[in-house]
Amino acid sequence: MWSVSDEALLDGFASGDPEAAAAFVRRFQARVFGLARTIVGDPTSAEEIAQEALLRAWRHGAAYDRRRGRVETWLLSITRNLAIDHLRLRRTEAMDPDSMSAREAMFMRAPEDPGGAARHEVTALRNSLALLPPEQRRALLMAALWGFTAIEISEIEGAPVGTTKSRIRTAMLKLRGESGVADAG
Amino acid sequence: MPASGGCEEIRALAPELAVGTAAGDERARALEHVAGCGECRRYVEDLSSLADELLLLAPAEEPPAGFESRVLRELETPPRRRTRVLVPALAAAVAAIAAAAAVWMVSGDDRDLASRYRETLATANGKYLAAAPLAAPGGRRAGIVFGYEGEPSWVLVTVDEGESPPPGRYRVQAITERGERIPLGHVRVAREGGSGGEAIPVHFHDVSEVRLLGPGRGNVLGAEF
Repeated sequence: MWSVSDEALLDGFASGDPEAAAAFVRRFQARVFGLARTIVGDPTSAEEIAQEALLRAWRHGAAYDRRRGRVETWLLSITRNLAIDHLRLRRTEAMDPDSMSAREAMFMRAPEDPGGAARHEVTALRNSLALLPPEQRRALLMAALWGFTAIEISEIEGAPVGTTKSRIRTAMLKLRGESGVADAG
Repeated sequence: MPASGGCEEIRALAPELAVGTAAGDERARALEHVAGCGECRRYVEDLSSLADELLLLAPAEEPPAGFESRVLRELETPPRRRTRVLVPALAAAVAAIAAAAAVWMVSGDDRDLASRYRETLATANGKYLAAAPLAAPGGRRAGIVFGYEGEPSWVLVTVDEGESPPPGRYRVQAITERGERIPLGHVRVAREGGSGGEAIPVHFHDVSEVRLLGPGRGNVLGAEF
């Protein structure tokens, strides 16, 4: 079963095959839970989010379109959106910049599973991310991972909204390898 | 072909579209543009894939013991498939929706209903009209959300009269089957209820839920499709 591709496993999972379902959950549960934990922090909430993400993958597996990305990124984007929804319902006070830095450091730490996030292209992306100026990296991750709006990021960082937007834009274009990208403040 | 100025604007906005920080009106404008511009669509898709790749960097972590069996137990329950409730629309435009709801409730002649429904959809180049109850926190019904699959697709929200949900300005969001949140403007809710609707920048058949996010913590109403 472990040699089955992610796409084939998702097909079996979504069609109700119990063996495929068990293999699918086993293959992705650590990645899904790890991302949920990275975003919301609290392990109990992360477990609920991870469970709901896998249930949604099961319900909507038939709608997965491989042209729009890998199964893993599709599943993780479902997880991220659920985790961001969870945070938005519970955010009652402004995020402390130090807390944000600690979360960012946790995110940037070396992966523990060599078969997963240490794949070559992911390692290259991590290296490119590490080379970004800290304020650009933090603005990008706060938007892409934690779901903060540009206004929220500017409030946490104490920077104008226009600067925040420039930081996100510059960071994305640098990661994409576009040359001649001017640095944002 | 879209104007070059449009392309420049969308390409400048693409990073924000990819990470989800673009404002609702910007996102709607961009989606309209990329629908007719393959080059910009590929550029936005490229950056969106890059933003999704960032998720792969999160450290994997084994969930607590028993997680796998809990998930698999949930999967043994047959998936809840919501049946789309088809209702007749009397005209092609959004203005017809209130009348459509009225006919849905009073007409008993199924054949006449089906005939008018088909005729309306043919006129409006639509596929179907769906309705789902809008649930307040705790599960109480607070109104109805209508959705229309056509060109364009649209959504109309009606909130019932009463003390709950609390009055105020509610943000409306469509949640796609992929979990993307698409901002759809606002609905003003008073004690007498409230309603509002608009064309949406995606196909309605891609929408799995419509949410109203109101004032106050946890004040979220939802309708699942």
